[in-house]
Amino acid sequence: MRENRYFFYLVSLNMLTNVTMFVPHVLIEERFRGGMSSAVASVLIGMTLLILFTMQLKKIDHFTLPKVLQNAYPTWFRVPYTVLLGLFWMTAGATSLISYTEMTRRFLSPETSSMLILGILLLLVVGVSYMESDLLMYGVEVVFIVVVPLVVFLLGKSLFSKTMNWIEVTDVITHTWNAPSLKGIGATTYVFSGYTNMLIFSRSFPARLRKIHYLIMGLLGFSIIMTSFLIPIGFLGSYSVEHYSFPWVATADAMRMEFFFIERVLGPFLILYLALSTISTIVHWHVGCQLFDSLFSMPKKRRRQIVLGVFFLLTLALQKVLGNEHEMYSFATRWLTFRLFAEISLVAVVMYGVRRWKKSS
Amino acid sequence: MKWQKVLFVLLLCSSLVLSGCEFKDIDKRFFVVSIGVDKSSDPEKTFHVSVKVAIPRGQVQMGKEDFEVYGVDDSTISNAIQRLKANVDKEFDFGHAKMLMIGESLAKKDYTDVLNWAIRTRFLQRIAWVGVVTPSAERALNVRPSFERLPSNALFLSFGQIGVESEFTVSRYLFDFYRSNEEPGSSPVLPLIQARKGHFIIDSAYVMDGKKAALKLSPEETRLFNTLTHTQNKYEYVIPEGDRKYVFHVDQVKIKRRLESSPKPTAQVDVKLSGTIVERVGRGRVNESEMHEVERLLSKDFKKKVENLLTRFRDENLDPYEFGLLYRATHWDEMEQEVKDWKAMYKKISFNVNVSVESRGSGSIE
Repeated sequence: MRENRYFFYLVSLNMLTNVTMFVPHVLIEERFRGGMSSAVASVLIGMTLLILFTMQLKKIDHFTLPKVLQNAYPTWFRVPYTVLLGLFWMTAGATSLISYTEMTRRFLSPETSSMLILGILLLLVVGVSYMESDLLMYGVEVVFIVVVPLVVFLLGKSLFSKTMNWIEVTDVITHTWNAPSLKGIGATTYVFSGYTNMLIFSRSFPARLRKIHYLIMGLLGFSIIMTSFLIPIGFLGSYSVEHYSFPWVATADAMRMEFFFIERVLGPFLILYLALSTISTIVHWHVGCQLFDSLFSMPKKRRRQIVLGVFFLLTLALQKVLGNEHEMYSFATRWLTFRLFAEISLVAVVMYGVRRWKKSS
Repeated sequence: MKWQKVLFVLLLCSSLVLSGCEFKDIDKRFFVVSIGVDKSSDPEKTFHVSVKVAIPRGQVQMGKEDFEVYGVDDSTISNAIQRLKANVDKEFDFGHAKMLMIGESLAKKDYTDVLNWAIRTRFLQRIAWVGVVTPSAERALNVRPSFERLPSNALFLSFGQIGVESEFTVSRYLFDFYRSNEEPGSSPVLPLIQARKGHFIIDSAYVMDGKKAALKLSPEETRLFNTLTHTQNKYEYVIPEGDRKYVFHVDQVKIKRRLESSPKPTAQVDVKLSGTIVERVGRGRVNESEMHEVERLLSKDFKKKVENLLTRFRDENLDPYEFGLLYRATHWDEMEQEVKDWKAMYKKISFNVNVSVESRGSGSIE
């Protein structure tokens, strides 16, 4: 039970950062088509993948993906696959920070160059990500203790607000009977994909999950998808919500704290997502650089730092390429769809690998 | 370890770079508290934009506030604001801009550009209040109530439900105005603010048709509309009955709405009012039978008034009570189909209002 806590942190980190990964954007775009049904379908798909993956973790002591690849797959498959996965993890972290940078720049300090904001955030990430897994995890835990009350407050504030329009929400719910779309499923399964970080972290934090934990995770994931999808609709209207470039920022700005020393919720919201997206990037890049490090026989700190330096430059280049939110959005949606297939392949590779390894030993 | 220390120092140094334009001290800023947009008197230009700038004072006292109002004609609002900056020596800060006023003449012509600008800018809060002003927004900005402690605070208190709670006041946030303006099956309602010498009167409202102010509601109708939409939480209704008059104070309103398409399109509204009798004009006491009489009279009167109001909305092809939204939320068809069906249905819909009144007493005496 004690070590399961860390598994929960990893999973809920992805759940909470869905806003910066354009997940609500995709759902909102599909709200009159397959948005709701994609959300429901993704709970089944995401939880299935999660359960299959965590089953494999139990079978091997100190499970890590590089170990499985070394013991069950030939080199010609192992090296490209690891590189590909590493790049996926790099872009996961990069997208989240780039979109956060764009939010901050637009609503907080339009005169600051986005390169500068991103550069400073990335310096922090690079300075932390190469550390050992257990140290990193303790840091994540501290951030969670600070962040979770804020999240709960924001959700409570919006759900019990008088200006939350439940009829609008009902309107979207009446469009549930449409076929789910690949785009929608790709986006919403991101919420459950936090478990994939375990392919590195399970070395230090082996998880022993019971049925009740799976149930909690499924419910939590579903309610997170619903809130991040429906709260903007309740505030901004089911029809006009798509006019906003960042629906969640507008939603936070539409809440009012009457009896607090600040009235606008926008400030706390941006601070919250600063913490969340930074810590999420730290975790993802940690996994990414560990994956690249695993290609060599001896792990080295210096090598991980170099890999992170390359990540840093790639992210700045990506920022240059994705000039405005439309490009960011189309990049993110494609990335999310590819991520779904990569995730399925990962679970398949792990399952097959574990079976072969067990047989041969 | 050494490497980390160097990085930390680097990070600290880099934070010094961040003090760009955004980092102006509070004494180098002017706080704009309200923005007003009127129709320009110059035929070449579209808008007359005016801003109210609060001048900070050390001591906050009633009626001792200081502010300036600057106005300029321009064909775009953003450019007007940039030109207004030329009047002052400090940077405008819109962090406290909580009121957007649209002059009546502009609202009657076309307010869409103003709304789009307001929702697009980053510095105007989405929880700013919006209102239509007569005679003009600039005149309203110049009103200096003797009881105001801070510039524009009188309006913020009226709309924010922190100060006065008037049953005649409709208050609408900017984001909500935009929502119902864009939404099919909904018409936005904005308060009408009358600027007088030294105070405001906010007791009526305008219903918009998505482009311009279409229908003016009298104070009576505004109160009815507020009762229906739960904007306020207490209302008083006068029941005239010959030479006797009663005033019924409503403190609880429960409303259920249903739409029925067969046998003929009907909107069913069930209203439950409960409260107390607070005034009786004429001699005599309020006994039990009289109390029931009051309940009966009020429910009859209320039913007639609400049906008239809703029918009037329907005839003007406006939908401020958002029946269209209710239709969309209770039907499972495709979006475009729902909107089309609703448009056809709303033209020939009839209203059936059931009112039940529950009187809990007649004040401290019978």
